[in-house]
Amino acid sequence: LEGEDMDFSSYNDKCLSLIVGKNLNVIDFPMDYIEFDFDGLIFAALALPIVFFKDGRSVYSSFSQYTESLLGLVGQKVSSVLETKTKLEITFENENKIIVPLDAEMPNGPEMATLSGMGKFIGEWSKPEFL
Amino acid sequence: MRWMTRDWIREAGGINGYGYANANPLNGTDRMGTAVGPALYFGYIAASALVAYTTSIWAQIASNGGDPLAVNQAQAGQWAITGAEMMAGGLLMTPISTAVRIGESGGVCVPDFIASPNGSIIRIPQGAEGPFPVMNGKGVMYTGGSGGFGLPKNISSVRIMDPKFGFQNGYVNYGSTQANGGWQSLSPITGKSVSPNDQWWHIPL
Repeated sequence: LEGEDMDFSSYNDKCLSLIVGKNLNVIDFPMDYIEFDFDGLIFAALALPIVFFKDGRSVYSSFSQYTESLLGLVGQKVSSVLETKTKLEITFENENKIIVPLDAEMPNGPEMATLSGMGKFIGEWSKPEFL
Repeated sequence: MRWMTRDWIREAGGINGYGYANANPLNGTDRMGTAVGPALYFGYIAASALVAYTTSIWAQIASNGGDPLAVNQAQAGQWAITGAEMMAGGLLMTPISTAVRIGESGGVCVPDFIASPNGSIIRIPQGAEGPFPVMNGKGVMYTGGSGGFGLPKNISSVRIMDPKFGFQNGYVNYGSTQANGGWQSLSPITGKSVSPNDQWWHIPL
């Protein structure tokens, strides 16, 4: 990050693109959601993400190896993101990806994911039925 | 100076629903359209004091086993004073000379609380600055404060989010900045972290 002077103003509806090119440094598990620290940008997945591996495997939160799968992403750089009404997709340089289902049953909404950093709240994504 | 739209507290802000700071913008500010005219100002304060006093009486009776003779009138009186102060602080169209904070944005007048159109009270952390737009433009936030007005001290910020389906007046989320710079949602009652499934994550207005 270029520090506190970073300009978010042009990112309105596509603010997830702020994390492209950032490294995933830390994964935290507060309460019942998951926080990803991308070089100081904190992406909170309130709906638990699904991990998709390059080899075609997918790991859901109910799987026993879920935590290990997520932690295996630490250190990877984000190569691209995709925002749709029903999902947020974050792809890493090794082609593994995580997908946050915005239409998941839990949490009960409306917020399903948030992005913040450097003391600023940058944005939130809502469950489609609340839009 | 006039608002582009009608004052959303309606006649409480004065007969002229489009007036700004009682047509005296050099000596007052009303960024949120919440300042009231003098006719209702003292009425609101008195009503707030009465509500706080009555609430204290009932709370004491509820906690002492139902004995009205054991009510501590001094405590109820203190509640009344606090209620009146909160209402006065929130409604008072404070002169610029004492209320403006000079910040990067050029200075804003921060109220102690904001009343939503349906009467819900949004308490602003003491000393917070704002309102600043949420970066993706879907709400505003006050930040940089600490507790006050019944809020736990670790609450530094509040974000007031735009209306959504099921939240026709929007919703409120209290929080603070974590050590890593990220947002942490907190309960305005306990100051503890809350789950996205908790009622305090989306407080309807």
